[in-house]
Amino acid sequence: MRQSLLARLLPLGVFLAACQLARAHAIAAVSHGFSTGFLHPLSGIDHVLAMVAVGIWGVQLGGDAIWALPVTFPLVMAVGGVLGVRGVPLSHVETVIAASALVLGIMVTTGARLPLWLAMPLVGIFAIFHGYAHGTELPHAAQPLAFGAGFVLATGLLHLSGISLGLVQRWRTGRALLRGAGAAIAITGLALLTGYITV
Amino acid sequence: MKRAPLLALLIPALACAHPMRGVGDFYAGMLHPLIALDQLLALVAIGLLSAQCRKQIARRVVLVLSLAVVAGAISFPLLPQIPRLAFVPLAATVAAGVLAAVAKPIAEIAVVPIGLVAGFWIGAANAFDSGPQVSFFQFAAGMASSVLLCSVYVTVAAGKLFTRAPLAIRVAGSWLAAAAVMTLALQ
Repeated sequence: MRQSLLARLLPLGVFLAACQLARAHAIAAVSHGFSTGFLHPLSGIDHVLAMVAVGIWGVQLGGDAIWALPVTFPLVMAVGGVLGVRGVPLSHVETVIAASALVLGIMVTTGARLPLWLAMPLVGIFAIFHGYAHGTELPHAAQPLAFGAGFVLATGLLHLSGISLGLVQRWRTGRALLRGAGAAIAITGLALLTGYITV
Repeated sequence: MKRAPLLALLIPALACAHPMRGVGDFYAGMLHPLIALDQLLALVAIGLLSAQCRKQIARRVVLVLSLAVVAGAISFPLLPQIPRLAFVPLAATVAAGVLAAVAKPIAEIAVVPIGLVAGFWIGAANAFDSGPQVSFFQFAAGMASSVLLCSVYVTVAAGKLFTRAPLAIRVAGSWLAAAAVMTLALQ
């Protein structure tokens, strides 16, 4: 006679209920470092907006840009991170980060279809400055690798969010919404650049 | 009646998960590579890279990795400076991550040497940390077992993902490499 699913799972349930609790002690420094790193890009509106805009713009550009950005951006950002870790002097970091939100917001609003050979270096320059800002925090982290893994993951997830949002461009209303979002990003970038908003 | 033995598990004392006497060193060996984040990320990156290769290459990597761990553990008294080269697992993560991100045929040539170097270092570094009071044989066997299991799981899971969404493996590789590059800059 065939057993129902419940009957088949019941012994497993009894077994699990009878065992002692699995005490999973997190290694404190690693989890703290990871969470601090993960929150780092999310704690700055300039970082969040620029990363989401990169994802949206990648979808608007289409073709190779959709995969090229999430694959290459973290690596280019890491170059900036190395400069930050090593304390290489780089001026106007926060200004360029604010400008990245403005420029990328304009790109999304206008739906600018730059050729990939032009779009990638533009995004690359911004990636270096964003990475530099994260890299300056790395030496102070209790667990640098966990911190690095956290903020790379957060940055990547922001890109993926932008890519997911960008997929609405297949509909006319979606394209209008994206342009509105781009305008909002650009205006916020301008406000940051002019000091009207500070992070 | 068939379920009577299972019902006996309702007695909590019987389900206590305490290591058996004399095999605690095996578990210690198993845990060592998995709780060191740099070593774990190296194993994951190598697993992602081998998932992009042919099955024969992937099987070879898993085998080479585990044997290299044992070889490293045996060799560390002869090469005491090896565990101090703390950049090795990070460099392996960068190399494997970048190769996974670019997804070119060179991965099939490079993955075995990367696995060999990373495995050897993992074995040597953890054996160095283990101390004289630990049973070397059990510790090394535990290390090799966990490296084998970890590499098999990651390779199989990444292989299944690779057939459906190859871009995901490339993205994961680039993320791992990026995190490792920045940490390497601190070395």
